[in-house]
Amino acid sequence: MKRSSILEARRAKVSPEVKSRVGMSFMIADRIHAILEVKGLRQKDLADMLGKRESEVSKWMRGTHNFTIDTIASIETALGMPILEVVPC
Amino acid sequence: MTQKYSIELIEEHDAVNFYSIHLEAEELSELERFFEKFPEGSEFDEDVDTIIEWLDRIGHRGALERHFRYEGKYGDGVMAIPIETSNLRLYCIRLSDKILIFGNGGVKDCARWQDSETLTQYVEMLLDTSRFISSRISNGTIFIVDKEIVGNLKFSRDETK
Repeated sequence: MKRSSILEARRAKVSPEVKSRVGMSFMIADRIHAILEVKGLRQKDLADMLGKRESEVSKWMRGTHNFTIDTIASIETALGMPILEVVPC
Repeated sequence: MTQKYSIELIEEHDAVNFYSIHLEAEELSELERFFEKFPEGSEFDEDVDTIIEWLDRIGHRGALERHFRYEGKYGDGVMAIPIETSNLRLYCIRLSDKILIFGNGGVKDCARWQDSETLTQYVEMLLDTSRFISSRISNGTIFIVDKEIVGNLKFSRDETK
């Protein structure tokens, strides 16, 4: 598949932390999206439940948002379903 | 002054093809020129890393609308890559879930791209290109086949317009 040598050179320098952060952000966004679909809800409904603007929820769904524990906890509470699971010790 | 350019395929990924505007007078495409402006070691390293990683994931999973930040009007497909940690902006046209056409970008140093001379130039070029493509799709001189744009991909526009 065709690749740009300039992008490939820069791609090789991407930090593992950024890769991990973006990967997790996409997974959280996908999980929220899946729960909304299962429950027949729209992003606007979630925003209303949390007392936030729809634009804020849109930001969460893009794959680059740095979620805080507070935000995830409030989303889990509003949707009544888990977003994250932590591996027990 | 008339600006001449073409749209060329820059990268192929599993789910999305990345195209870019390539100005006739420039050696590199606009997407490549964007990355050349922010080389490794610049103050935007983390944001450039985020853009690259985001592009790779989009390339693998598809360019779903919900992952983009709207910059134009509804229907023109002009979007920005969603960076929250700084005002670095890279603009594109989301032609479909499978085709992205990149323009250039830069640091947004005012509230709206319309207030920045440089960013206005980049976004308006994409707005015009989106309009040209829609018109050519309507008249049959461009058509979309899965991840490919087929047809006449050479354009010219009046910069003073």
